[in-house]
Amino acid sequence: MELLGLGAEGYGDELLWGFALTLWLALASFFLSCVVGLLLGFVALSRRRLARGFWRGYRSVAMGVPSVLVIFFVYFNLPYLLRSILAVDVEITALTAGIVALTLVYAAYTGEVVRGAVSNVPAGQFEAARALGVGTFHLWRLVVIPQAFRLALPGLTNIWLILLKDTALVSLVGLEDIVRVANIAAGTTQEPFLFYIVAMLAFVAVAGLSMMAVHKAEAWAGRGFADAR
Amino acid sequence: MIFDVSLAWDLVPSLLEGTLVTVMLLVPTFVLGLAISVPFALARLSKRPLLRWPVWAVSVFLRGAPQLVLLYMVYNGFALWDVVRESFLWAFFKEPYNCAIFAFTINHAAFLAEIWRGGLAAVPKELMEGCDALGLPKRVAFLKVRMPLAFRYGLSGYRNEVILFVKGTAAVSAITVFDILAFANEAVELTYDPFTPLVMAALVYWLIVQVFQFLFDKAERRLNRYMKPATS
Repeated sequence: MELLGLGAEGYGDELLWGFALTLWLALASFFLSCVVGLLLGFVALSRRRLARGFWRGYRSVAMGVPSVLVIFFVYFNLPYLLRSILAVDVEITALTAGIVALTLVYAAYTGEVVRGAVSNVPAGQFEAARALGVGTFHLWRLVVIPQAFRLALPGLTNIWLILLKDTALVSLVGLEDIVRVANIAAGTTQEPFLFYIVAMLAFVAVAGLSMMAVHKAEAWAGRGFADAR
Repeated sequence: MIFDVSLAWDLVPSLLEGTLVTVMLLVPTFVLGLAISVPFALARLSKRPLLRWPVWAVSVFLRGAPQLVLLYMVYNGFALWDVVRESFLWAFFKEPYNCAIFAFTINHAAFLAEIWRGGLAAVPKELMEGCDALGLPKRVAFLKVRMPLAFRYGLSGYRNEVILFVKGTAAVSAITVFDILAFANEAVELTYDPFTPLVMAALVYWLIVQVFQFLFDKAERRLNRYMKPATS
């Protein structure tokens, strides 16, 4: 147990830092993929054929290529890309590459969820709002988005749980996340089971807490539906 | 950042070798995972708490932890454990390829079990009462009515899991198995071209995923053929 201590002999503090990094990577990537996914969802719903064609191509690539590959690709190529397009020399850390790569991949998944949620809001809701003279901004803000959010929640939860586990792959380009720390500690102390189980527990605990939070959020998002059932 | 066509052509043999390794990971895992997942699902649905709860706990770990950690656990944990090293199990676990099969199979089976469990639970109770009323033996009712329906309910979940799983195998190079991504990364190191090999590898994975999408499209159409609109 002293191996998990916080001092110089134990790996406790390194593990905690690694865990914080994992959480940060997951939260930042999830937030950004929701933002990009929202935009992509509207591209997918567009009436323009070119926009829909772009969406289909993007979705196919993002969903058909492994996240690890995208992580390696971004890590190796983003510096060149930035230099040739923006003429800036920036060092891309494993963390940045991880956030960019996971956002690129998961924005396709959130885009798909947003598209599905918005198109499942009954057409009558749009028509009724128009008939009552509600403007476009308020139509989206007060009528469509609250209802679409309820429909999108289960899908977004799934994406979050999968994304959380995919952060482990960023350790392969050198990010000192909990997986890498656990792997190093397992190697040096010859106690693999201890450290891998701690890492697994961390992931399972975050997933479990997220599910509890989602149950609360679902109750809140479905508040208008409580009586109808 | 220019696609080097001649390099891409030179990479084809090694990428094909990597593809063979990836396929050799997929086939045993799909077969074994499917076989294990059915008793796994039944244990999750069991009425005995002593069976249900431990299986639930194992399932939560297998589904909640990243595949990479499971791979490390088997490769650096099991394979270096004295108990394993000094027993007949060593013959199996000394190969990284076998470690990958083992880790992937238990992970895949846990997800499939969850899908079948949902499917089995979704079969309407009235239908099973109908089977009872017709005097069908329990075993026949389960095998001929409940299982096929559960499989059909679970098909879209199965599809998602298979696609996610195919992409997940790309992490296997972390335990020194040389799959598509490993060959591509090696080419990146040897040629200093970070673009072409990874694009080629992406293309191969994309094609594999498209093959599975096509197969599942066909399976879905076939299994749901009775649902064709009556009016057409």
